[in-house]
Amino acid sequence: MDGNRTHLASCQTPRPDLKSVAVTRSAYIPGIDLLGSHLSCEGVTRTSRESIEPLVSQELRKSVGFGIVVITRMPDKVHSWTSRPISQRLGATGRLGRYFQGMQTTPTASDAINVTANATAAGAAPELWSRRTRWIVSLLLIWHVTAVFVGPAAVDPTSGLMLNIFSIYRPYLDALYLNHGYHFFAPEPGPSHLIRYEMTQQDGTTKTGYFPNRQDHWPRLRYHRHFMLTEHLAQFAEEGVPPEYLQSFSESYARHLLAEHQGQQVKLILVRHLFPTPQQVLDGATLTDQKLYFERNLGSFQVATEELPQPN
Amino acid sequence: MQFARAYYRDLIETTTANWNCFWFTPADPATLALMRILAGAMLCYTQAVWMLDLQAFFGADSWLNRDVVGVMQRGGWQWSHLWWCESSTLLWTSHLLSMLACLMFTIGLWTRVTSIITCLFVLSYSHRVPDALYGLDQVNAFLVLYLSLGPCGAMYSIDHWLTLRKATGNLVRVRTSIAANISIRLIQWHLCVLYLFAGLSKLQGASWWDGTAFWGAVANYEYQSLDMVWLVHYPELVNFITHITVAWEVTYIALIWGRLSRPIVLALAIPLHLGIGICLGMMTFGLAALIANLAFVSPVLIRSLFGPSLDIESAPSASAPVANTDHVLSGPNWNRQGRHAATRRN
Repeated sequence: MDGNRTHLASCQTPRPDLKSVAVTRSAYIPGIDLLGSHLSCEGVTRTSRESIEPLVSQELRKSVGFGIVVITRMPDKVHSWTSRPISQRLGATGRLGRYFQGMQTTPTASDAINVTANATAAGAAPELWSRRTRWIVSLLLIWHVTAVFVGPAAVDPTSGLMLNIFSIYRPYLDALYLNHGYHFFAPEPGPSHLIRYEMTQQDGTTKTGYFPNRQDHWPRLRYHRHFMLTEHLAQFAEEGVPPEYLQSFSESYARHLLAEHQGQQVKLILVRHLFPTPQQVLDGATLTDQKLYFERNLGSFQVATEELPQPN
Repeated sequence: MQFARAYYRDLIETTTANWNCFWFTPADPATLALMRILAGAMLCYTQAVWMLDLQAFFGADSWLNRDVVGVMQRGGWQWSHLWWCESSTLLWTSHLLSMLACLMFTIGLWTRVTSIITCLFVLSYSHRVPDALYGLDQVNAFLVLYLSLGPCGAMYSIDHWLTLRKATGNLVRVRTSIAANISIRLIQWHLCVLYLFAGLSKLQGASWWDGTAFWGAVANYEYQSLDMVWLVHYPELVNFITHITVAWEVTYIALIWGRLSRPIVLALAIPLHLGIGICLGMMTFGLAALIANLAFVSPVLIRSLFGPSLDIESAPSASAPVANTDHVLSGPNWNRQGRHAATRRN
């Protein structure tokens, strides 16, 4: 009995061994700290259900806040699970409390009812928020969960309506770095991009290199940082994108390379690396087959980062 | 008419009750605390790797200068303190402070404050170099944001240890918290949205329909960290992995809430994200996503794995009176095995 007592009396939520639990009502009943639990009718005898449900419902109707009553099936004589009155254990008052007191003295069948309370030792009540607080927090939550949805929903292709909604949320999404599309490898896994550079240094020697570079950029996260630099630039090399974006990125990268390597002039080349089709691999191609690389000149830049007149 | 009124009343009452139940039920912070350690460790690593290229990414002649970032963020509301760290000394001081904040957040020292400071640092770094970031940074940012809202330092932390030490001989229990529940719920919701759009965006591409998209990922040399080209001999396996990826992502938002389907959904998350990590060289991203998925793991399981079990925490010793009852997690009768404990459907 003692085992059952300790086992059941402290269920904050329905026990795993209960087959089914239905949440039928939830409300805060002033003076009764019943929390984090559910009203379950599975396995409870009809008599006990009928006797307790109207009482609980009545209290719930009168309630002004939030809290959840737990009523779960108990396999044994639950009513004697404690030497203390259950109402004292629950801190229960009012009609429901009197009912619980009644439970103590009027046990029903072994398939009875247990009402679980949360954190009632030595009178300590679990955390509860006032109705006002919950209203305020609820409004903030509605704002936020909507924002989280609107962020990716407003990424192209999208509707005018969604863009209008997005304009409301944009400051919030921007500030919290939540403005993402989450289009990982979508709509299609595409080619990857590198940037090759040919640099004339101040002493007249030339130096070539490319990034990202697995040999230079270790660990892998560092490699990915450089990889993202080229991938983002490549987005602006697509047709239809205003050329000033590509120009800005190219100039910024060139300025960095010149400063890092004490260069005088640098030429940047965007390299697009396609992946081979399965058939090409079956025909003997490797992932680094030269036929899979395509280059595009991004321009030449000198120390002042002014682009030299260069054709594509 | 009466029926409509009854329906309307029932709808309002049920929705309100479910909303309150979902957001405002106090939760055990064990899951949140474990996530703090793991996410904090990932942030420490991320910040340590930035250190290797600090000047290159944040210095005066950085890859992404003010002009180019300004173009990208035109009309936006991004902010970063790093724009003011023009001197090398200031930049290094700021970076070391950020690393210190991340470390303190990870070990749970002054967590209430350090979690917010860490969050501000993470956002600031993200806004400074937006074009050097990817999925890892997105997950890092929302994890630390939500963790900073809840009592993530209530357990498995120096803070908790100090509280126990201060209350020598007395019983100190961790209190369930609505803020902990809200933090966990927000992470859960964010993950659902993330996977939903990751899946839906894939459905725009033909290769995700014809089952060849996975090949496009593993045959990409710049991503590749494990040679998976042998898959060319097993096209149907490629098809299967492609389809299961999309199906998992699109249905995550629905299936993750079911008691029976949740373990399957979470189990599938492991090969998916570890696969990204091992095959595509994004181990950090894969691990960060798995850490976020921990939000769906019951605190009971976390406690059974890492302790302390609820009975130890809540069992009053004969010689030690209950002194700190404000931190009670549960009633006085937790069982000896801890098996009974809350299996809240997070």
